[in-house]
Amino acid sequence: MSISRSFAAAICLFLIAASPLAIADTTSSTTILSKMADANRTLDYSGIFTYEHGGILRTIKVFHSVRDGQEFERLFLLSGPKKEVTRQSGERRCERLGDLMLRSSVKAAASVPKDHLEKLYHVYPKAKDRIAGRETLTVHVIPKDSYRYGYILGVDQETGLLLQSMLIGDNNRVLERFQFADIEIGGSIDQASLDPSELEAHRVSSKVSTCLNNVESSVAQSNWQQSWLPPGFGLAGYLKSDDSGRETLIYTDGLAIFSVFIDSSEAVDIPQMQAQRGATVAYLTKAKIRQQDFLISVVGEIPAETARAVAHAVIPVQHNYQ
Amino acid sequence: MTGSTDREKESLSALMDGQADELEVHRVLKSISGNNQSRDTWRRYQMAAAAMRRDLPEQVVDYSASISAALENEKALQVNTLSARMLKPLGRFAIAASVATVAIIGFQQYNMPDTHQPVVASTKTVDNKFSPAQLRTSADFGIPSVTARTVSVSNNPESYRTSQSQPVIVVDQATEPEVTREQVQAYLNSLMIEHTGHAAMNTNQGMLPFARMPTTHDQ
Repeated sequence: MSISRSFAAAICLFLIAASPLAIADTTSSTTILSKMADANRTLDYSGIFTYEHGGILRTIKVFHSVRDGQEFERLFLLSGPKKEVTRQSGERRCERLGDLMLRSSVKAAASVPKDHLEKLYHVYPKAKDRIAGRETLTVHVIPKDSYRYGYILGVDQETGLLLQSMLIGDNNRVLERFQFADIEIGGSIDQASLDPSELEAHRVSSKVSTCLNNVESSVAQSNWQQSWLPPGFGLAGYLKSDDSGRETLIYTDGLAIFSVFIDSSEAVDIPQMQAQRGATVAYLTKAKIRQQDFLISVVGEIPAETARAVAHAVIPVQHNYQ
Repeated sequence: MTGSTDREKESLSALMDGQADELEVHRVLKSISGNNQSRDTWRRYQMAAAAMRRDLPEQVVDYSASISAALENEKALQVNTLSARMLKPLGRFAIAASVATVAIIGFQQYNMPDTHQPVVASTKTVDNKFSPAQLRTSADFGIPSVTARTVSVSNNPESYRTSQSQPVIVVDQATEPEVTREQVQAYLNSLMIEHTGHAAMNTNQGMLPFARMPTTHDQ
């Protein structure tokens, strides 16, 4: 009796001893996402990562540098067609909704309640792993409803940088996998590595202001709004194009992002449809408002049903004309 | 025959639902084998059904023509035997079956092997602490990260190229003659590229959105 009890106690002790990670993580499981949110905005790194979906594998080289609080990034494809992207984050003091949501377990914000993410996902720290030669912690992020996908994340133990991400759809299908093969964190990134090299460059400008203080004022011009949103999603950005008149609304829950495009120009000839590429779904539907045709498109890494529901919930804003 | 009439579409639809009678099946098969438009309609129905079942393939390969050609050849070999005449209707059914498999031939095999990674005691205890009753499916994806992979059935370099540049598209309406497939493609690509930019400015997944960017823009 006492032997079996002490045996059980020994097992318990063993379990506890064998799982320092587990003990630590009951407090840090939520902060790990918060740490992840910070890492990309504070670290310099360069490396090679792979991205695969549906049997297609791409190899991509990335340089990332933070100078004076601003992120600079250059990526180019090492496989397939020549392609390059350079990016520079806009304003320096900029609070983004996605960031705040990821950090919500650590600190609440005016627009994001505390534990926002925990209401939407279960966050399970799992085993330790090794990715790109670095010690990582595998985190399973499982949605509590069917409006969004789940993730398996591999987070660098030391820095919190995201080194691996798998998007998990229905029936535990892996929709895409992103993973570093090699990375150097820290070290200096010279300017030449960040400058666009040649013709194929695609520059991503920050035309869309995603800083929260601007979003609210800019969305006031919007002619469109959502009569319904999947729980936990909030407006992260708004843009009205002067050329095409296209209006864009961007929504996020902290992990997933989708864009809603409303077009009224020649694009209205595009038929209603649903398209899928890897994890990205596009759902296009038409609306006729005051004799004018509009094409409403929802694009994002969300289940098709969510995209459809969002697309059909886009309604015109009733402006108060004076 | 100039095109699929409404009646034909009705028959196709009945066949999809398993509601067609034998006579109708014969008529449909006859018209499908000689009429591209009917075949396209049939394919669209299959794709729509697949979309509703969330079973959309990454790419769609139409084997029906090559299979009917193969069947034609086979028929020519044994056309004079009695059994061939008796088997003829079966041959027709084989064509139908091959058309029916069009939509599922390009399946992405996302499904993971059932093997669970042996979990260490620590993760188990964490699970127990964390899993409340209202879990959507299971407490775990059950995917060993080491073996998790995305796989495509096709290893043909040509189809690789197609699947890379063209997302699977299901069009709701039968025909929209004003726009070409290329225009639709270009529009979708432009949306995806814009979305990528928004996502990159907004997520903490860093460069991940760019990895998703379509590579054959405007081509």
